Amino acid sequence: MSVEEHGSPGTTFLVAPTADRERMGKLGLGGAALAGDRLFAGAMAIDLTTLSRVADAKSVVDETRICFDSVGATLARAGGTLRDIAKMTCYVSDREHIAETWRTLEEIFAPGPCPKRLTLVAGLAGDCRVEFEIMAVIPQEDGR
Amino acid sequence: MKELIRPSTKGPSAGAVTDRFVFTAASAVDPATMRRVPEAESLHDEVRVCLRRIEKTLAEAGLTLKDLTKVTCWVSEEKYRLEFAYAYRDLLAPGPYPSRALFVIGLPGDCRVQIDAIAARRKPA
Repeated sequence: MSVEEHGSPGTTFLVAPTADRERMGKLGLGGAALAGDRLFAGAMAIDLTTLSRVADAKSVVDETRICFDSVGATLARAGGTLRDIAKMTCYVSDREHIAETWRTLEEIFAPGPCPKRLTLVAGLAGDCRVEFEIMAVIPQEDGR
Repeated sequence: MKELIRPSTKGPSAGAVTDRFVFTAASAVDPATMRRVPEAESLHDEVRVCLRRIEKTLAEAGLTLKDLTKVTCWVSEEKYRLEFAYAYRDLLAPGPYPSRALFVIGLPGDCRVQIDAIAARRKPA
């Protein structure tokens, strides 16, 4: 894998080469987790230094796409694709962002199917409006 | 196939074990009073209580906090976010730190912190 890895006995943590590892350490963040064929990953369009949304995340559409670019890259590092997502939880900072988030997800997953998802309104870090947690099952070489 | 940890008919069991994972969660609530336990006075204390409860459950499945794979954490108010992050970091130091998401949400009683945790059992030989 072309990523920096560290792990616990049953898990490999995948950290993108571009990630700010020093800042992640200061915040106790561990990156995506691959345990067997299960990948657990989260995504938000945040700058860990300023704890604010990255400049490119102007609209909720932008922000959702940035998150899923990150999720897609993480899945690729683990040998999977967006199609391997089994379940996702979408967190939005305000109900008003739900429709736009869902519409963008349908575009990202077009022509479908979209994975099972749960949507919650919660407080997110900084001025982020959307955040995602995904669980994926990565196909194994032996076909399991 | 799963097995419950400390199965209970009154209130939740402490966790569940599958062939590959242990699922558990903790807050610092006293179920009898629905208030925080006295030792969870500061936020740092409360994070410690949560992690100790998770540690105790994991130990019953032969795991430790170093086996944590993924946690979803909640604080009751935005003002606790960074304090939580630093307490969590210090209490789990030197790591490894599991994959983590942290949100603000309503919590039971006067709890300020709750942690949902998944730990991976050792890789099969």
